[in-house]
Amino acid sequence: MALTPQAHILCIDDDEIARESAQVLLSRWGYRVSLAESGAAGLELLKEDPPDLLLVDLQMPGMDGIEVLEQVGEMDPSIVCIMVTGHATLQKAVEAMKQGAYDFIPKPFPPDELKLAVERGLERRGLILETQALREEKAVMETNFMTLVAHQMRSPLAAVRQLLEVPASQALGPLPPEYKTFIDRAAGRLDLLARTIDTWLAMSRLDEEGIAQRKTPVPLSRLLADLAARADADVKAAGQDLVIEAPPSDPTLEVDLESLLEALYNLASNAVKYNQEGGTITVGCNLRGGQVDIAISDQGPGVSAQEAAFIFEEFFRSKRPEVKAKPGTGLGLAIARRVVRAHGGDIKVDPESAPGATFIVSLPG
Amino acid sequence: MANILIIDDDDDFRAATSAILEAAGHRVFSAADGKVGLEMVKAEDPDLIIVDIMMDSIYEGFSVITTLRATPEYMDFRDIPVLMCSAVKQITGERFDIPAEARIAKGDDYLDKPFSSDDLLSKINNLLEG
Repeated sequence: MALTPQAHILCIDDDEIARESAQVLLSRWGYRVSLAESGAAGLELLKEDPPDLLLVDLQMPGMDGIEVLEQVGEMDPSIVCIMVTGHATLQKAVEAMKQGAYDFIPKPFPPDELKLAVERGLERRGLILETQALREEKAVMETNFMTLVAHQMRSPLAAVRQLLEVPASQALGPLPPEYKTFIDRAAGRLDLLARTIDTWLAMSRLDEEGIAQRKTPVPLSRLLADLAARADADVKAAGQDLVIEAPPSDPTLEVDLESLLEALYNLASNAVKYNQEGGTITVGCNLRGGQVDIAISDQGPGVSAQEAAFIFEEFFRSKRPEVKAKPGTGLGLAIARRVVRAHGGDIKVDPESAPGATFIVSLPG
Repeated sequence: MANILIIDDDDDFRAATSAILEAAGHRVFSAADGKVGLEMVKAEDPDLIIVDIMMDSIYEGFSVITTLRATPEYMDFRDIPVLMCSAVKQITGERFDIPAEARIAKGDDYLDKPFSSDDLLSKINNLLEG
């Protein structure tokens, strides 16, 4: 997106002669020019009619050029700023650049030098605007894509699964066992595909800011009791045991109970899924300093050190046959980590947990 | 055994659901949109209605229920229990706020699509008994 010569340039300078010569030159080159005689007046103008490029004098009474740069950076960082100064010192130049000035020209400015600096500055502005537009376009596309997935893929998938339910449920009469096996396997794969789509959409919608805003005080004991209740059905169905080790004291945590419980439940249901037959899942707590560590352990095949580095990445699934054999979307741990991080905490695999796997969720107390 | 009306714009859902219900001994009628479905209510006086919430016009399922429950024309049919279903409720994260007029009958129920044969039959039995 190249800018037309009608680009808008704001010149802030306390020196009338400098303002006038900037206006004469810039207008001659086809730019639209606004003038301000002080930093404060310039910022007012900038709010009403934001320029593409700002020429600002470094040394002015009241608000100087560096201060103007600071404020413009906060108001609209896409505006390109060029610093103008009569007595350039290296130190001042460095300071201005640090505040985001794009270029530096001496005063009185030789017209050629001004022209070159303005042209380069506007080229930069064009690039910034183009990047912004692309970023916005990408966000719209992502939203549309999610809607497409939700409505156009999920619905037919549900219909296929429903059709398959007729033979799978043997509603029309018993199916020869050799057929039944294949129907069940197809149904299982479709269920997993639907779950992957659902989980992936849930992750796209996961709203970290919302989690931070919904935090309320919750005693650790309540969190653990709710987790045990939520995991109870899975634990019983698998013929396993869940042991919650009571913490030495009961600190109150600031959490979004619903999302955090879901993340912990995800770890617990993984523990059930990968546990040895009839195994035990242990939920332990460690309080250190202001931090609470919740450790969820199983007696399954464990997590290798190499896997531990990638296990929280989206769509990562272990290549080991004993793990790969269990159906999974490869998204549960990625979501769990995002939820825990949105709480200001973190999640990791305990490297010393073997045999079995231990996942530790650390939360600020 | 009951007379059941299915209102759903998806042919495959109608076919699969009918097959399961008929195999369980029910008599099944079906309609591909809400308007035809409402006409069939009058013609067939079903014991139970299964309606998809998200048909072509977004809330057509609810407008069927609202018409059934809140217009004098359907006075004689307003106590028919309704089983609502949808394939996209969970994933879009949309919450369905059931219109107040649609909520007259107690015991109405909801089922996510796709549903298992067992879930469908047990919900239907509950609704028919209730």
